[in-house]
Amino acid sequence: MKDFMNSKYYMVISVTVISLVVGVILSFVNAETKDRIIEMYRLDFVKGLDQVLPKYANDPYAEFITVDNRSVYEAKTADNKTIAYALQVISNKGYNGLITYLVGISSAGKVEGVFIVQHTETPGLGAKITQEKFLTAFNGIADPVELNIKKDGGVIDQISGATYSSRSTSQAVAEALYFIKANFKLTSSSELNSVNSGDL
Amino acid sequence: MKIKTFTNGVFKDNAVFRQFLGLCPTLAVTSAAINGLALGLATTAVLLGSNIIISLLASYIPKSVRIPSYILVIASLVTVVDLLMNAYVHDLHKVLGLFIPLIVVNCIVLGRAEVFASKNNVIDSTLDALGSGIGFTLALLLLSSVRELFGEGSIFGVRIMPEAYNPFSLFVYPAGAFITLGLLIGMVNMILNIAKKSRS
Amino acid sequence: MTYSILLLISAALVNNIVLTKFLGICSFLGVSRKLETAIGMSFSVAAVIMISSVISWIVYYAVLIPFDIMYLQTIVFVFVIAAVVQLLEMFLEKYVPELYSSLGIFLPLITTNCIILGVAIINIKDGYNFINMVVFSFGTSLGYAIAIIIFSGLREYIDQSVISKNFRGIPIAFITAGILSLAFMGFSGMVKL
Repeated sequence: MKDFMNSKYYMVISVTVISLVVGVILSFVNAETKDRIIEMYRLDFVKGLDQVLPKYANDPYAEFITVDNRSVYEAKTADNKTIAYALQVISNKGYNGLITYLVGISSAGKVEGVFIVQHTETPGLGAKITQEKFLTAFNGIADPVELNIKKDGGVIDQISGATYSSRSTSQAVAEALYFIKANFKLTSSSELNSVNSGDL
Repeated sequence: MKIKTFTNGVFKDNAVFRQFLGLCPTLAVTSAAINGLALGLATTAVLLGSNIIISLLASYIPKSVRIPSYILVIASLVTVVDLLMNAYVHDLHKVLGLFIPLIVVNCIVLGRAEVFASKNNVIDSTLDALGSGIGFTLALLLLSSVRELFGEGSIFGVRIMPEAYNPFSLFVYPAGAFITLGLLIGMVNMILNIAKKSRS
Repeated sequence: MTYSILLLISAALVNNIVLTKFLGICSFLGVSRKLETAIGMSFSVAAVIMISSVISWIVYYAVLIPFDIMYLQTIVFVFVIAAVVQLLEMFLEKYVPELYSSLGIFLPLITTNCIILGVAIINIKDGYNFINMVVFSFGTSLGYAIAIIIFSGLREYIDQSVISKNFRGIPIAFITAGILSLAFMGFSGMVKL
């Protein structure tokens, strides 16, 4: 027995056995967790959509449409009327690396919400762009000029010490606004008002 | 059953403060207390699994393929933890990201397997793993709490410092990780030296 | 092309692997006592990073993806690295004994250096194509070399200065690394990818 345990065959056999056992266990764990992991990634995205879109009755994640090579997620009411659009904007204008935004634009051409999917900005400085206080300041703005930070002539209070990160956010939101305006027929807010007054 | 096996791992031979092992994750994920705790527990889980399995298998594994076999066991445990965390604590998994697979090359895990588990029985190895793992987790928790407290004014996201405290962002910067850990190790040395002096 | 050059600068300076991503700290502290060993270690790490990154990248796209077994990534990469280190050691011992005698002692340590596995995983996670993967791996090796060589120079000075007993050795080394990391923060914002 002792001789066998020192032989080359035993060495190969023992490693093979361990590898096989490990392989079986791992494929089992993978099979068990696979669907859940995919579901988690989907939920992640839907969580972002929920942040930037008003309450919707459809499934924007599944029903996305492709315009100009970009995926646009539409929020619809129960009677199938589109009330807002969301799209991803990737910006390289931040301080460090890419920032991925999800921006919601209402069918009236106003910013519905801004969500940061991913970023690698400096913790404690640029990373503060994820703060609600900063992001909600964009909501309801329809004029792309106003979307700028105050330094650039807009109305947004920048994160102090993080001009690049703040400016990148402004530009990403403006890009989304321009894209939606260029590709979809929007009811501008003035028209909306006149329709409303006509109804009355 | 020796209780010392356990306590040595936690205090006297603390991986981070006394042996300077596993420093990469220690520095990288400790910008917030919750991250430190999570990675500490993930590492403890791997350590526990690897120590138990290796102490059981050690006598059947030929000397010449010892290290590759240990790495195989550890790497598959890490993959299991990685998959499970991705599926069940998805948000934490996103934050810890790269550092979960890197548990494989955490010197603590392979170190305990080689130095302790391969030469001792299951019960001692379990205690040893729990000791080292908890010691590592406590070290991560201490470092991350200090960094979050001074860098954000909170611990586990709960505001501790008075409103007037202006967070000192240096602590959450990468540089802050090095400086805080250096200061903490120095302070631990100081406390140990004072204790030694008063005893003699 | 521009992207590749920016990627190189970014990997070497802006996102320095040791000082901002905290990979390879153990060897960073362990072998930075002397300038000479630091240089030796940088070369060994660079060689292993380059070879193992290329192999793991190819294995990932040629084997793991077609067979849909991406979850085996960690295990496969660790073994690629261990094999590369082993082969490199054998190759150097046989054909370049002079180099082996100066680098040999570092090679076994490299398997557990998290930079190597870290770079292999980042290459996949960030979806680099073959050229950018090579550029990134090279930039990272360069960044490691820069950090560890500067640091060893600093440590040679620190070892000669008077420091409180409690802070001698590792603690003061960490604080120095922190200040060095602050200095490297100055590079951030320099390159936009």
